[in-house]
Amino acid sequence: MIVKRDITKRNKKRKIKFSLYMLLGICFLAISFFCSISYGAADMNLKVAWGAVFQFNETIMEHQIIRTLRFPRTVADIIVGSSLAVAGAIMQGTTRNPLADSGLMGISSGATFAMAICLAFFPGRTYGETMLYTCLGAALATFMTYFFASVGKKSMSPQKLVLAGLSISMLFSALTSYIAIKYNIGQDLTYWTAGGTASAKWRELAMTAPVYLLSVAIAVTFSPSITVLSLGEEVATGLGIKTNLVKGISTVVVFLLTGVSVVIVGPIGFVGLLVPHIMRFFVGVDYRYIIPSCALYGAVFLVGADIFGRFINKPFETPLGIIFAVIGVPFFLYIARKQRREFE
Amino acid sequence: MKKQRYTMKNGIMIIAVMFLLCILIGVFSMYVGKMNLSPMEVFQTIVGNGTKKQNLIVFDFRLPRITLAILVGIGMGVSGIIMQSLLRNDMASPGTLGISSGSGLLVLVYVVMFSTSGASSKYLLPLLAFAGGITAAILIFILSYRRGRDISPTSLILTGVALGNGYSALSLMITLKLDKTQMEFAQRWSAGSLWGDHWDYLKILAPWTLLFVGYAFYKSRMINTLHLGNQTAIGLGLAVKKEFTGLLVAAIALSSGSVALGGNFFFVGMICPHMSRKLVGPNHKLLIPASGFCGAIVVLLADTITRTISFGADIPTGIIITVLSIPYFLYLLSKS
Repeated sequence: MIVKRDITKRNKKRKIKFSLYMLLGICFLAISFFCSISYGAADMNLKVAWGAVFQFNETIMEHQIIRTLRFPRTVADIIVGSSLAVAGAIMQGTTRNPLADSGLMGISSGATFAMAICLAFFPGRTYGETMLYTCLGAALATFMTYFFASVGKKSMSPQKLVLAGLSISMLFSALTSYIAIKYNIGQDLTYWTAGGTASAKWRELAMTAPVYLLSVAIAVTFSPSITVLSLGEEVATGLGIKTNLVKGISTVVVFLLTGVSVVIVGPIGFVGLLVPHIMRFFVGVDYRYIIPSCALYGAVFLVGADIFGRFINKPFETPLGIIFAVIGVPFFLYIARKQRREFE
Repeated sequence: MKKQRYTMKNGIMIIAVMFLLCILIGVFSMYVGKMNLSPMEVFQTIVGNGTKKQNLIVFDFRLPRITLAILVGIGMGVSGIIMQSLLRNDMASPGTLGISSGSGLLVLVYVVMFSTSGASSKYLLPLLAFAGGITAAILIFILSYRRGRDISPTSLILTGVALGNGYSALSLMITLKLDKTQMEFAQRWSAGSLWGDHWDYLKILAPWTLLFVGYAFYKSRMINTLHLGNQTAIGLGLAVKKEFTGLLVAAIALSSGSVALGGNFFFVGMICPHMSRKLVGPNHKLLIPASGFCGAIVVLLADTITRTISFGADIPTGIIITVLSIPYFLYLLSKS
């Protein structure tokens, strides 16, 4: 009994801690949100930003800028950041692989390939079609990566998954550069690949937002099962979890989330790697806490990185993909190192 | 009878066959291309009775390109086999170790800073690509080095993957500033286009490649010993650190040279060692030449394919190699 009470007490404590972190995250998000809509090529003070949000006045130019440019951009940052972070968390949980990330798994290269096909063959495509194709590209690449990492005698090790992801990425980027050279779309594609939310529009956000919300909702609903799955497949089966069902659903969610973010900004690596690890450090290993906090802090991170990118090389903007690669590479090395230590 | 499979005699036979095959494809490659020349015409031109136009095609276009393809293939194949044997890992190659992305970055820097067709560029570009490759290799080794332990192959590769990602992000940043022609050059280079097919470049690459291949071949007994593991090699009385470093520098030098003039061909460096190991067995005295010829055959064949079959545009040779060899790589991965 005492043990049980102890556990409930600890759970309670953890819950309080988690709520505090979430509250803090919301504050961070609010602050970065207002910073993001007030700073940029044309600086405005917070008061104007506040006014644009709550007392919109069409005749004021600043209000127009905020409403048509910065507001959608910030919303796009939020959606992308939290989708990538949640997708990363789900992948890390279900595959038990600390190095899982949508960029490293070849997903982004699949989506880029689909985008190249879109640019080359369907110039008159609608936004919804683009979204569909990039999602399909992402799905194809992930499927291939998982397939090739899991066939063979030995089970799927993190290293094997990374290598399979690497080779699938190389295959798709070879095909992409074939298309890019043949149809002369190299430059368009590069701009898209660099990853920027500057061109986000309300109409596009309106289409992607429902997908995003739905996927995150599913992810949160399934987070208890993901926690159990992260203990190992045998354990999960023993505890009565339908592992295949959970895996299938989480894979679909990962596709959707990656597709959404790829279609808004292009492929950004390392967000899905960084954020879940940082969150795991703060809220513990329980995915019931990790997934919601990733959704929140992923958004904070991306908005922050976007503001940073606007400032570091003013008046030029530094693409998000580059900022995250610069932070992400050392982090990846650190994790790869730490993980080896555990195995040895 | 299985023990008899990899004898010296058989190995030499196989290498001789590979050599002949290489020459055969090379000769065939002389005939085909955008301008079709009949075998007789090519022969006449080589002997010295060609028209001006035929001379131009054979001596200034085809011959240098074929030579380049062979040199690049040999360089990649040999550097691949050295790396795989030293690190005792089947997945090691100039590509997975991030060396080619390091060279790629500096090539891009060069494209931005200087024009692609300046007189000064002849020696600078290969040099820069080499510097990039060496820097990347040193970085990877420093990052995966841990005091008091052997460098583990897995950590080397993971570090290579991570650094490759970082390098490509930086390259992307530079790419955004390119104009259309520079962009095209960079894109083709990174896809592996055998762009440096000019005698001036070949004059540098040929001695470079031969020198290091010769060194590797001379040291093949050391590689045989090192392949058994560092501990065993020390036990057998080998100056492990010295030989290891020397051979690795040779491997990096070979791959950087090939990457600089040919572009990204690192798949050759991954696949050819495997194929040749299947053919001639684990003795490096046979393996090194076999892998080199194997590389030459692959690159030459791919190049001949790109020049014969039109894919609607001039497609870099590297793309064909990548697309053709990824399945093999995945097969290896699933078996390893």
